[in-house]
Amino acid sequence: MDHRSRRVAEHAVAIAHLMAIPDKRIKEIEIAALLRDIGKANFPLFMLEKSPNDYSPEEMAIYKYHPQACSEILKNVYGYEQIIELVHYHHEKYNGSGFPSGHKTSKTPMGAYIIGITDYYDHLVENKTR
Amino acid sequence: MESPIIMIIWSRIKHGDPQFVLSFAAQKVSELSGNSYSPALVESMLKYFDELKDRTEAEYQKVTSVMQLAPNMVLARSIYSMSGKLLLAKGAVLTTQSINRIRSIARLDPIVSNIYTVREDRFTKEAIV
Repeated sequence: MDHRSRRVAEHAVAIAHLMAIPDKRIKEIEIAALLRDIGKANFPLFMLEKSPNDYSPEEMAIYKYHPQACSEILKNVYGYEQIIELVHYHHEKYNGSGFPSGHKTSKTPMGAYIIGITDYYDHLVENKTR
Repeated sequence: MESPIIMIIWSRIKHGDPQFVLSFAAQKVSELSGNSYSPALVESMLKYFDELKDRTEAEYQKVTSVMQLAPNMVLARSIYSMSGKLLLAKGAVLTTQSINRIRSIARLDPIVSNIYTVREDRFTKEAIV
């Protein structure tokens, strides 16, 4: 687990508190934020070393599969149903432009959007600072 | 990347002025409101940025000029010069020698990053990580 996941979890929890989400849900959001990229564990090493913007179409297809890979890994863990859902949808966007399913708002849980936006924020900030 | 203004903005982002990074992030996030992210979510994100801003203000003290540096101050952020050189890393405790060195370098090669020191009343282990 890298520092990025920890920072994203921390930001996500803070935002969830601001949005008055119940404590039980917040705990789930925290765990999901920590585990969200576990599906990248079976990426080839050279893909982890470059940014998603530089991926070829084939690599992009592998990249877009990582939320599903993640829920595959976690599906046998007892009591993780909500967390799997958050992890599965953490790349969904409000306007339906995300992946894996490209759903619009109704189906995606709020927690998944929170993880998505904090992930984006961390990407903005930490790629440019040290 | 050619215009000097963009260069300065870029180096400030790169060298981590916390206030600047936060307002940059706030601008980027609010651009995506209603598009990639729902307006309600962006609103709470901006609220969170304000909170972070207050927190950095409480923890760090901004030093506006190299002449204000004094021995025993602790750097909260690294200091970089215009040419990209790392002059002092964060966590460094300033001494008379290092201050003199920085002042002499800053004459030829101006410092681009804002200088932040840890507030004395916040002088704890986690502040210097």
